[in-house]
Amino acid sequence: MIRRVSDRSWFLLAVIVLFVCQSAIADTADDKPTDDLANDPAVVAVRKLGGTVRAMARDSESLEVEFHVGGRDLNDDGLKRVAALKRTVSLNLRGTKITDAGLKHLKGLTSLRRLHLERTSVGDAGVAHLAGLVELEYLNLYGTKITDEALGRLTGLKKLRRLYVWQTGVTDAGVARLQKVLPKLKVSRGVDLSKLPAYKPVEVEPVKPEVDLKWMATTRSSDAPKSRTGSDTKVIFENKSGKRVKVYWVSYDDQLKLYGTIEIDGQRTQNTYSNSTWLITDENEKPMGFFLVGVKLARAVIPKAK
Amino acid sequence: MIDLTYSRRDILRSSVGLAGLTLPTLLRAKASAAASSASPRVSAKSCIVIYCWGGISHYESFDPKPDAPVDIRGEFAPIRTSVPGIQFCEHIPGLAKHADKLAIVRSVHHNQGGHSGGLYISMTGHTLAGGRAKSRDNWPSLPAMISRFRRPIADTPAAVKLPHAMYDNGTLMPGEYGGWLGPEYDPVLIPTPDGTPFAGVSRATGSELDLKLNLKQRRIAQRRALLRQLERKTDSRPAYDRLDRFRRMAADMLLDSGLSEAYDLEREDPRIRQMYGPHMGGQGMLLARRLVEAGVPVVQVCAGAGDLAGGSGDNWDTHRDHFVKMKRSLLPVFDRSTSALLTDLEMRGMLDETLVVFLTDFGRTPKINKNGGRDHHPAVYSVALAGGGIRGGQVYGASDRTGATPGSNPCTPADVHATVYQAMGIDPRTELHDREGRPYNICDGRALPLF
Repeated sequence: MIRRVSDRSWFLLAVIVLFVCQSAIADTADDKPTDDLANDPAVVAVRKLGGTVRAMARDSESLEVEFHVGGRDLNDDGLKRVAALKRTVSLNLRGTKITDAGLKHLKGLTSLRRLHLERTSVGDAGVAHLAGLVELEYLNLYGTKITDEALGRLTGLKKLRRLYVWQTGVTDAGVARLQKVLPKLKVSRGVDLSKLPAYKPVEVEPVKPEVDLKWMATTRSSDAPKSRTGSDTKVIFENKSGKRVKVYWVSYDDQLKLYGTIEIDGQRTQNTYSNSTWLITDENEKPMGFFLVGVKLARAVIPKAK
Repeated sequence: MIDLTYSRRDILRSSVGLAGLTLPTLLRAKASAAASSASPRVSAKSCIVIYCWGGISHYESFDPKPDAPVDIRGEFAPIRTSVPGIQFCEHIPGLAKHADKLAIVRSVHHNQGGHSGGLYISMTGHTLAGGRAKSRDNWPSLPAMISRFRRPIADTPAAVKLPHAMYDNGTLMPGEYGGWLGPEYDPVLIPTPDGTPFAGVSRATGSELDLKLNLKQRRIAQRRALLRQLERKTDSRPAYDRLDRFRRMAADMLLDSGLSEAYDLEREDPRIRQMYGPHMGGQGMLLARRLVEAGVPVVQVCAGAGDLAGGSGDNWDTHRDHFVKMKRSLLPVFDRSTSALLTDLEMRGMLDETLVVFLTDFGRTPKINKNGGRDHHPAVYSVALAGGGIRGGQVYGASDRTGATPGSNPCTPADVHATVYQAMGIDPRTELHDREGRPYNICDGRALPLF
């Protein structure tokens, strides 16, 4: 979790930049919905609740109603307003605050083909209200409180093809019973998260250097050129100097950045880039020499100090 | 399918020259939309484009050639998938279990042997003309073009890309931007907030990184700080009169948006995060799902390091040590993350409305070179699609016996794009005008019969 805060900030800025562009558009366009639906008081009421109401693309008589961002506070009272939109064929109530009691309002939406109730507090009693929605083809109940009892209420939905019951109390036996009645129905159970295989980190073999870097002895740090950008590689420093040394990266703007110290006869594997310069000093920051990194994975032996 | 509300907005937009649309164009677009309304199929709402930058080998993914000579078939064995008769490479066992959801296209080909040209044609469906530089004359990328036809739900961007832009040795590549649609259609770049980074070079892009706000604690003080930041950010822009409006929107976004929630991966069940894998490749796929769930119509995910950097690091440009890299770092992350995405979309009931597309620059050569690598091979390669009304468990087209050229049903990146547009309910023949007013069909390809 490196740089979490700045990463988030990054995202915010992206959003803001987007808004600079979008506001330019929105200001020139009509800010309010300009469709015919805007004149329908029932539609306006649902939009006020944070719902998105759109005509189904291929069939303008049918409506698609969704509660996404901004509409999550929809409750049973609000659902009454939604139920006034009788032409609704697709209704998404995912993650809203509706309850079992509220689902009775859906009884009249007999044109519904697609219904999202996932991640709500809906349970068996609520699903009982859906028994008359005979046009339903898709019903999403994952992350609800339903059990096999709810499945028993769905047997009259002959057109139902897809049912989602991940993270519910539904059992194999319940699903099997429903599928006997509705053989064309596909029930998606999802994965059992407690049985997921553990993540096996990829085994990384020990790094084998391909070349030796040339030691450039110097007592002046200004001899070490600043780094230039390049491709990533690794350098394995080996300290044969007979004393503790400090390892500095010469940055792109010619600053020395301390990366660490290496003990006598010690090693340090360093991620770096080609065209980078690494300056080695003794413990008192007195320069001893430097290495210029190439493209290949390299060994950099710090020789015996004179 | 073209939404009427959206079209009216477009007319207004065009009246100030922002999108370069004309009224007749829109009427034609609407007319052709109506003409294709005979199909009862529901269009996909969202699209996730998974891009394997550098060129993923078709041999070591969706088109193994176990019967080819040993110097061509390589070190890996094929495995059976969930669909009898379809074999994948042994190192994508997770995707093999999802073969019933995937349509594999094994006969894509083009003539662009370099990365910039390969990326450009794979992302735009067109050949890169002139230099390699990215410009407003470029064709819009597939995600940018889709976002042109999709109004985002509530306050979300229309197209997002993760987790970095694509570079080749420090040069930004053309082909993954809004091109002549205009800067407002450039997908918004968002970094993935967590996960082991891809080895190699992934450069940061643009003027980012100087907002210091904690999203988790939405306090008024921070909101004010944001507004101050915004003022600083925008004072070079001419549109001062819009400042108040967009400040309000940005603040609303910060305080009320479901997108900030979607971005916060710590809100996800840790076991789900584990399912995708602790690598940025996995956490990026998870973020893609969360963004789509929050209403973002198009998300593009780069499945590898951002800069090809001469083939070093975790990108698909495996000119040397191909098999070692594929087995050790590239395929395990790719397989775990993408198969988790398909599992997750399916069990949440999202896959039928979410089109997942796997694209890449090109395939890799039949011949294994002296460095144990495979080189660029645009003459034939594979792409894959899932969800969004695509019929899974099928293979379209074939490469020849050695995977060198198309064996049957050759097709182009533009044909793949036409397929994507059709799945998204967008007529590939829709006419749009570029910034000089020249008319173009958004796609020259023919949709493949994958539905």
